[in-house]
Amino acid sequence: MLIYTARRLILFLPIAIGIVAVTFAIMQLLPGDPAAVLLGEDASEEGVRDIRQALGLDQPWWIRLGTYYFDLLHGDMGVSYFQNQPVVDAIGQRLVPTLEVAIVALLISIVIGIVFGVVAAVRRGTPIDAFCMLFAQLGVSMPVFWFGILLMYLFAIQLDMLPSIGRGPPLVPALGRALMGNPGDLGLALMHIAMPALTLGLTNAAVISRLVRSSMLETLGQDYIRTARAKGLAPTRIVLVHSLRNAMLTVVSVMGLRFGALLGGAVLTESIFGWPGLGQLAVAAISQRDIPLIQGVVLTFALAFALVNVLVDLLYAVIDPRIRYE
Amino acid sequence: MTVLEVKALTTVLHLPFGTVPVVNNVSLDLHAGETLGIVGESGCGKSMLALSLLGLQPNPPAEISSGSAHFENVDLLDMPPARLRRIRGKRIGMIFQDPMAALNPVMKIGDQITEVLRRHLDMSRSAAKRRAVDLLELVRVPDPVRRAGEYPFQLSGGLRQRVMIAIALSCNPAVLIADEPTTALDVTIQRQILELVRDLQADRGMAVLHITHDLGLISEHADRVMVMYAGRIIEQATTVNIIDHPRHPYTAGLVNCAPALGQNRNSHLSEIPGIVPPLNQLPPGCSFEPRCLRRLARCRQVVPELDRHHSRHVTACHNPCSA
Repeated sequence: MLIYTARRLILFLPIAIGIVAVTFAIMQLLPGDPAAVLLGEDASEEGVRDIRQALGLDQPWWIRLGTYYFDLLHGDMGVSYFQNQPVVDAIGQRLVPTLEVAIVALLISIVIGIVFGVVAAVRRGTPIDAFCMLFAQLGVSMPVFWFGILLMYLFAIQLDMLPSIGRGPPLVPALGRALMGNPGDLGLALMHIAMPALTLGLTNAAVISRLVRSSMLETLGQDYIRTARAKGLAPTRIVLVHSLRNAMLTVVSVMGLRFGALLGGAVLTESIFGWPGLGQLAVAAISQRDIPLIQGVVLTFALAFALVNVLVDLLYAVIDPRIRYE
Repeated sequence: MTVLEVKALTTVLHLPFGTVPVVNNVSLDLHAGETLGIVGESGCGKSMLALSLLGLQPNPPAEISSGSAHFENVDLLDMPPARLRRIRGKRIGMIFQDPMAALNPVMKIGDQITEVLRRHLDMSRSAAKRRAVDLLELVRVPDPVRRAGEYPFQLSGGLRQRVMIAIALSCNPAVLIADEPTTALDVTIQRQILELVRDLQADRGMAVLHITHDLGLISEHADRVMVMYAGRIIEQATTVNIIDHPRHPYTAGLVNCAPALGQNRNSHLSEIPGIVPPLNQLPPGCSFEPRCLRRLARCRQVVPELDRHHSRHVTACHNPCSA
């Protein structure tokens, strides 16, 4: 397992290097001259040239890529054109709120997805199954932004239960304080995160529940399930220990990919709920053509995605001994 | 002493084109300490019969439609599921055809044994662990302590079947149902497994219901043999009688099909002409009639009843071989 973990982590290196290169290339291929964008429409040719020189844009691409790598290694992603701060700082401030929502949403989607999927598979062909899959169908076909607005209309406007926009106190410190016996602002933090996390989590839960159901149906038909029944084990044990663990192999591998959808969904969700995260930052950066910032955000998303998939690989090995011992 | 008495068991399959009996009016009794072989081609219903006894038939499409199976004074086919689960794995053990697929791939061997012990015998974790190692030793798995910590994919097919036997025997069952236990194994391993079962059976006075398609194999290990064809029992006798004096033409065909060692390899193996009819196209009379070389006009219309030839030899045939 140690060797496997080490190998996965080492493999992450070339992936990271590749990601940086691709991100860099995409930015170069974007139409429009950053210098011209910076100076506005009535910029003089001379001004543009000076800016290009100042930003190093007059250098050939391979020197710029090399500089980018070099700077990245020193924790430098450049300076945002419009935010008047280093890109690293801008991203750093926004990363935690986004992770908050992503993780709560992931938890929601895993819990609901597994419960619905397992129940539907075990009660296959019954109205319960039909209900679960109707939920899944709705969740899969509903656009995130529309679902978010529906939630907002219901809980913020009609029921007036939850704040419609903005982030409450940071969740992790609030949770820490609550565990120390001082729940104080945890409620407020949860009330703020509820709708964005539900929006992202429920749509994702729908996908996961369908996956869990089909995967469960497959494992429930396996010979070792018949063995488990011949052993006289209780049905819950057969479903949860023997079937679900095997079914999770398929589910876990897809969950890593779903994390990408979660990040993409975050861009929309954060805009709807005014959540001060990376998604909103990305939208702002793109609309302003703030190239270093766009590059930084895209890079962060891509690296997070790759990192999560490394974690998924490790989780996979935890579940399946055959991979661990390879 | 009879430990298991099955009467008129019928299991049907609900299929898109209709409901067909896959086990048709089967009766049998199994005595303590004996081995009863059930022989038949694939699809004859022998596995479904075994599964039905423990309520393990895949439902849907299979459903037990009538009959009884008395075991230790209770009817297995007519009891609440929770009660049946107390018998499965405890009083009646079962091993299956494909040991590659029958063990959970992501669970340690030891844990797959201890979960039965803990479920039925209320053992503590550590006691169950020790007993699991003892059981592995009993089924002659070398280095049982190390093996208990391994996963199924690290074991050979023969070892896995030994593990299955250890699981099935863990609670000292009165009956062991072995559904083609050696079909997926090498010939040399087959013999080892069967000898293992026989030795363990002798030690415990356990009854074994051995299901196979291999008449030659069963002739060495069973006390009595039942032959199944298209869901029905067509002949039942002591093993010696079945092999030496088969009365049903189908049984006679099976006996003749087996190649003998040293047989001239240019000589033809005999075969039974035709194929088993699909369950939805069974003839109205004897199911074997279309393939039978001894058929009479009557065979086409009347299903033959099991008829007692002499004390321990019954045959369902209108025109049995006189041997």
